[in-house]
Amino acid sequence: MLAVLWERGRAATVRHVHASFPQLAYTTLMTTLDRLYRKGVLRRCRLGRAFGYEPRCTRDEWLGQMMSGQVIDLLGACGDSSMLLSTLVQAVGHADAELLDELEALVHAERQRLKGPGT
Amino acid sequence: MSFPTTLVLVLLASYGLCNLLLSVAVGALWRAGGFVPLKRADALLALRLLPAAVSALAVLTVVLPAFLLYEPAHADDKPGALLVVAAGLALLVIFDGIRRAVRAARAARALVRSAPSLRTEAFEDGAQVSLVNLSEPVVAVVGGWRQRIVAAHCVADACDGEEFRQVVAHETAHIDTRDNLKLLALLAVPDVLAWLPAGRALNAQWQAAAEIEADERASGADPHKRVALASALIKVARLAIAGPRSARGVHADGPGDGLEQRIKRLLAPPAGGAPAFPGRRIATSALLVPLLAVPLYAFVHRVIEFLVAFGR
Repeated sequence: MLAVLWERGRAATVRHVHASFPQLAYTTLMTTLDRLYRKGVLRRCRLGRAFGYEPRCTRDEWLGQMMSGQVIDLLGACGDSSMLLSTLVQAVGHADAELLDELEALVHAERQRLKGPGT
Repeated sequence: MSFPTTLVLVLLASYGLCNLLLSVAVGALWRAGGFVPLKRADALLALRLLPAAVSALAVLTVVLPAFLLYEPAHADDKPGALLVVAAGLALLVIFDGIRRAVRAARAARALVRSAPSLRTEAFEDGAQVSLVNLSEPVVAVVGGWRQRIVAAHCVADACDGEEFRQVVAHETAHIDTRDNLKLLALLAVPDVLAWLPAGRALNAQWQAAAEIEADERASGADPHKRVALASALIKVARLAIAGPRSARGVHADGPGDGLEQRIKRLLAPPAGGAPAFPGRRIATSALLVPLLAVPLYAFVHRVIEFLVAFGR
């Protein structure tokens, strides 16, 4: 349903959406659109005597939010269920700002050394 | 009790007992520091999988043929308590392993399914990175078979071009060595060791070793790349500390696995590689077990009979 609304690019009434889902009852679509509106997924406006619905965010934004939620859920999962992720930084919990300053100074010194004394 | 039922119970009980003994032995040796010299990821992985692998090998190549050869087809034994308890333990261990694997695989599949539609960035070495809007500085490989790299925008923004390339190279190294599948094996391996502190410590040690090896593969001997990766690690760590959920979900315990060690290692000249783990030689030797076990079948069958009758 969201795909139909994104494709349309502007607000659509239940009748418009129904054209893409002729196998579904009109009332089913109406209820679903109303629920999506109540959940904050769709925006609603008056289109004549009917309500028009349009997505609150673009497809990319929506997928990004979904993905972010899943990543957060995964990372937040307790114990061994948070696996199947190879994270870049292990042991971040043991690092503190002071240690990072020291390490950054080491990186800086190494960069200078690699650049050579003349540069 | 019919022959097939006895067979199934004997196989399960043998697996359960063998697994219990090996898991406790590995756990005890771990506590005693017997495995401290093990640093390589593949050696740690092999040690972690050892109780389950050896138990399965023993059951399939020693217990099963011994039982089939020596047990009368019409024997009607009543199972003893030890057999039932050991078989129950094996079932518990197996179902717990399956539960952990399904849980992890489902989570990963959900991520992978939603990832293809996200904006992806291609790098010159062919790596594809899905960029996501996250407050956490996540850079990760997700998925089992179809692995992909997921990176938070904040990490890409914080790093300069070379640093982010090294970040991607690090994750690509994880993909090349199929570390996520190995991680899945660690999670799903049906053994008692998974319930012991030593099992969790081995998992953490393996992850830390895999990270260090991915660093080495990503940057090689090029000092500029090593410095860029070290710098990127510090930037990601800073983001993690400043983030709303700092240090959650990304942690590891044990010696030598900290950020400090990784960075100092990257800034030092590349050390000579540790001696290769003779994984293939061990696997080949394991194939000899069925042959070596043939003369022991009669003895093994007597042990099985004792196991079946104990506590009856």
